[in-house]
Formats: sequence, C-alpha cells, structure tokens
Amino acid sequence: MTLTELDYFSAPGQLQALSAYTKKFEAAHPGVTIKRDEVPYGSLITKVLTDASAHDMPNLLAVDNPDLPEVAATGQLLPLSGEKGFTTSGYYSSAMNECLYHGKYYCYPVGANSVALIYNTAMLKAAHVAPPTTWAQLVTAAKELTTSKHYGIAFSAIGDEESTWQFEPFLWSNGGNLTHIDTTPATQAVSLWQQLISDGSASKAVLNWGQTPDVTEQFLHGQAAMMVNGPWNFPALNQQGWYYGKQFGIVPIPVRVPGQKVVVPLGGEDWAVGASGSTAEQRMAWQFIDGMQQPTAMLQMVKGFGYLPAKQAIARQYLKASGPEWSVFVNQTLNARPRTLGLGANYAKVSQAIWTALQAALSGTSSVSSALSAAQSTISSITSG
Amino acid sequence: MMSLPGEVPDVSPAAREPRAAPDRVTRVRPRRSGAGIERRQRLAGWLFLVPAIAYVLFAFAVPTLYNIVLSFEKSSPAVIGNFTAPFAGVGNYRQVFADPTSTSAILRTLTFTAGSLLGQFVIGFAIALLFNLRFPGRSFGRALIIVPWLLPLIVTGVIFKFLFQLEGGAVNQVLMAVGLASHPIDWLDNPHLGFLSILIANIWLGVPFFVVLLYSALQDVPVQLKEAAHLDGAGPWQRLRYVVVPIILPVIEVVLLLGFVFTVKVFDLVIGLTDGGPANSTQLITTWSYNLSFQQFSFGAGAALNNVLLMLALVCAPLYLFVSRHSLQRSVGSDR
Repeated sequence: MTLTELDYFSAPGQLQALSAYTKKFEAAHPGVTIKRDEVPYGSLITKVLTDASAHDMPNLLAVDNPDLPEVAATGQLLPLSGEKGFTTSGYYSSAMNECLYHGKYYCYPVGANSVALIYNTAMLKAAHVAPPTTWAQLVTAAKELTTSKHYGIAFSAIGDEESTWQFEPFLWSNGGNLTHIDTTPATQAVSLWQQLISDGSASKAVLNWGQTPDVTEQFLHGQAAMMVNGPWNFPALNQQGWYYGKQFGIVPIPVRVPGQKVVVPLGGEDWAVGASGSTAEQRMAWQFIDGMQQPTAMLQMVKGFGYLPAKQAIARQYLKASGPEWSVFVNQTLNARPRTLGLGANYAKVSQAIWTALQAALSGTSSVSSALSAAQSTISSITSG
Repeated sequence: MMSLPGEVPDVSPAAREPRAAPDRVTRVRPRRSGAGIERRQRLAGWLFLVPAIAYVLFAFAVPTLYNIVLSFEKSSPAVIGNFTAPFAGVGNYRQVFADPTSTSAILRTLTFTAGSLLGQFVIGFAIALLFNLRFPGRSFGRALIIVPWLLPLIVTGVIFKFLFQLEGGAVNQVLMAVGLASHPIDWLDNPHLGFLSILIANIWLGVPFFVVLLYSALQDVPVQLKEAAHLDGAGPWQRLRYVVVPIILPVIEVVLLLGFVFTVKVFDLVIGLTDGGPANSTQLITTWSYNLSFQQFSFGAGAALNNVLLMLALVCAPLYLFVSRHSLQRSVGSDR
C-alpha cells in the first residue's frame, strides 16, 4: 500500500525528523510506503483545494493551522473524532481548537510555535545596544545597528500569509484586531514597519522575503542584526554553530508602550487525512498520525521541527530537557491566539487583504491609511457575505 | 515568400491530372452507383474529421463553456467538490468590475501588451535589419538570438528575479559599477518599477519571435527593387520606408497580431518574477484571475475575469483572419 503525503516543510531539521519517523513507520508496517510530496508554502493550499475539487486528496497532509477550516469545508477531510484512540484530552486546547470544524475534529497538531525577536549578540554588543522591548527602542536600536555592511532588522512582508503572521503580534499587542484594520492600533503598527524601511534599518527587499529560509539566511550571513522569526530555526542555527546565549539572544516582540501584553499568533501545522483514499488507506493514514502522538515519537518530531509539543505533559518533559532558548516562546505560545478565531474559513481571505495592505504601504503604492481603508472594505465584504 | 496559412494551392496541370485508371478496380468489383460512392466518400470525410472535432471539443469548447458556466455560479470551498454551484446571475461580473484590483489588472494588461509589442517590434526589427547585412559571425548571432525562446517561461521569470534583486542583483551591481545608480534600485519592491521589470523581461522574451519572422521577410525583399531605388537616388532611410516596409507589411501585420495574442495571455513569466506584487501592482488579467480562482477560491469571479480576456482574444481572432487573408491577397498580387 502506498500512502501519499503532502506538506511544505523545508527546514533541514524538519525534513530529518519527518523522514526518520516515516522510516520507522514503514518498518513497523511492512508493505506500506509513504510517498512524500513537497510544495512551497504559498502553493500548498492551492494544491490541496484543487485536489479537493477533483476528489483526489493526498492520504496524508500537513496544512498550516489557519487553513484547516477552509480545507475541512470542502468535505474532503476525514473527521478524526470517530477514529479508534482519538482524544483531545491532554492537548493544549488552543491547539486542538484549530482542528475543530462544525463540531468535529479533523486533525492533530504537528506542534505549536510562534514568533519573537531574535538578535545577533555580537552586533548588539558592538553597537552598545540593549535588546529592545518597546517600539521606540526597536526603531532606535535598528537604526544604530544598521551599518554599511548590514541592516538593523529583517522580517517578512512577502505576498502571502507569512507577512500577516509576522504582523499579527505587532497588531494584537497594540490592541488591534483583524476585522477592524482601519483603526489606530493597526495604523500605528503598519507605520512602525514602514518607518523601519524608510529609516533604512530594514531592506525594502523584505517585500520578497519569506521568513524561512530568506530572513533566516539574512540573519545567519550577518546581513541583519535582528530578525522576527520562530523556534523552528533552532536546528538550523545550531547546525551553523549559533547557540542561544552566545551567538544569539531572544526577546519577545516589542510592544508600543510599556505595560502592553505581548499577544502572538499560534503557529504550526496540522496533520489531516484526505477522504479520497480507500478505507484501508484512511485507517493506515490515521495510524501514521496517531503514532506521532506517542511520547517518544512526539518528542523526536518536535525536537527536529523546533516546535513545542501539543500535549501538556510532554511539553513539561520537553522543556526540562531543552535549553533556555525556549523560555520566551513557551510563555507566549501557551497564551497564543489562534488565527482563525472568529473568522474560521474566512481567515485566508482576510489575511490576503491584510498582507496586500502591508505590501501597498511598504512599497509606496499607497499611504498607510488608504492601504488600510482599502483592506477594511475588502474585509467588511468578506465578513458580511 | 514565407508560407502563410491558406497558401494558394498548386494548380499546375500535373496536379490536375485525373488519377490513373479507376476502371480496372470497378471491373473486378460489382458496380456501385455513383451516389453510393459519393456517400461513402462523404462518410470517410467525416470520419477523418472526427479526431479534429473531438480535439476542438475537448480541448477548447468544453473548457470555454465550463468557464462561462462557472462565471455565473457562486462558488466557495464548501461546494468545491460538487459539480454545480448555486446560480449567481451577473454577480461575479459585477464583483469583477467593482474590484479595483481587477479593473486595474485589465487596464494594466492592455498597457503591458501595447508596451511589449512596441518594444519587441522596435528591437526585433532593428536586429532583423542588422542580420540582413553581411558581417562575420552573422549566422552564429542569429542562432544565439533564439535562446530566450528555448527557456521555459517560468525559468525566465526566476532568472530575471535574480537579476533584478535589490540586494546583490546583477542589474543593480552593473548600474552601480558604471555609475548609473548611486544606490541599489528597488526593481521588484516598487509598484512602478515592478511593472517596468515584467515589461523588460517580456520584451526580452518576445524579441526572437519578431527577429525570426521579420528577418525571413526581409530576406524575401527582391534585391533588384532595392538596387533600383538606390539608382534612383533613394537614401537608406527612404529605401527602408518606401521599398522594404511596404513589401514586408503583410508579415509585420501578422507578427503584431500574433504578438498581441501571445502577450495578452502572459502568465508564467509574471508568476515567476513578481507573483503580481508588490501589493498587486503587477497583476495582469491572467495572474489576478488565477489568484481569484486558486488562491481566494472565488472560481466564479476568476472565471468572469477570464472571460474578459476571452473577449479580448475573440476580438482578435476575426481581425487575424481578416488581416492574414487581406495580406495574402496583397502579397500574391505583388508576386505577379
């Protein structure tokens, strides 16, 4: 039996962990082969929904968690609620909520993650700059860290969900929300990004950078002193000889004024089973996912992926064993906000309106306020109809 | 002269000679009535047509009709797996024309097409004229000019993306090295330059087509005519304007028309180079319709926008037929 598997994983640690688990699974189930298919981040949802329309879904798929409701809406995912051994107990409820669609669970999380500000210790020391905690400090620090050799900061403002995802902590911590984007908190947040570029502290090429590998590469090659990024980079950083506390440090995403609480989006992918395959294939695909929920397998997977385990007990065990580089991520990820909250299957469209506004403001296509009011009219029409 | 569709059939006496003695066959077989043979022949004719009709039906008619049906449906991920979706009336068309991104994509497609054709024609004609002269390395250069044609469009898009990159892109490095720019230019991160980038890439891509066709047309211009004009005292510009251009005009018309059809449907190049960004400032009808259909899953709106493109192409098809027939008659006339 050959099971097809579709994902967009590209970090070396992720590929190693996935292939190690797959090999073990194949060895434990003679005659079963997992055929992996990988597409770029921005193309995955397109491919999945096209497959759904043709009733030709992969047996196994890992989708970015905000896209799960949209995929489940096609009716081409197998509800896992009824599968033998399926349970939601012991999991972080925010992570499991991403799998819920119309009263049924359709997935298990690959793990949880979020973003923070990762900085180059040596560059900050050389410029006598302390890691910023407020926007004003961020602007000053980024400016002081910019030299003829490198930029102060790198982030992703590419034309897909990744830029909305990186923008959300700035928006949400400042009291803004996705459905009212033409308000002061949002304007302030976009203006902050815009200022980083107009100051010359960030390259305008952020409009074409995905967070992994583009932004990571900028940081690793010493082209940027700070980056907005997540823990899935740890394996890659460590492989290059970068270690927490020595070569790099981490602080939460700065807030506009002291006292604001940092709110980050809950990141990570979800494993789901396509409904197109035979019953035997669906059972085997479920076993593939279920196997990853066992403590040893889950620990190995999240370690390679640079994610937090979605099960509380395993997360505690994991944090004891893993390093202090997790401290920022753990605290904020446990309180992370699911991106689809209140938006469900509409999230993808709302996100597109927001990243389009970001790109418009940052590229100089339109002013911050007109970009955001254009986005607002799109969002209003999405949420009302 | 170059071979154009519908070239005048060979009407030499040899071709008209009746096929050799059918009587021998008819003598052996029982005699058939003339009407029977005619019916069989007509049937055979239809049978020969079947593959062609099937092809046109499945490769063209069905998708086109399905696209028209889609454009009147209200589609969403929830109904994606079903064969039909609720009827939407003209809602999708209304949505397309109310959406500023769609309307600017339509206008941009027209500007892009006009700009590309102008650039491709001017550069292509200049290069064709150059190769029409005799100089060493001419055939090597002519072979080289076709290279852009051999590359897949998406590859061209990605190559130009590397060339135009803000940080370390070759174009910026060269411009700064020769002192034409003091700081890196944001080719792909600026709405106006983004459009210029896709235009430049597409002109580069289309020039070989113009060169090859215009060059072969130039080769057919009788030398005697140019020499006669020369003797009559016409300068190089006058010889070009009053002798060469009128002779190759039919080819120019056809090349421009085909160029229009090729350019109006450019897709892969833009996807590879800018993906319609930044902020949709390089979206064409094709890329935005793809985005509507396959990224926002508004298949209805995507199909409606696509039908606008279809209308543009449909306007062109009869025009092409008219121009090619018209030019053919003229060129046949000029051969005599």
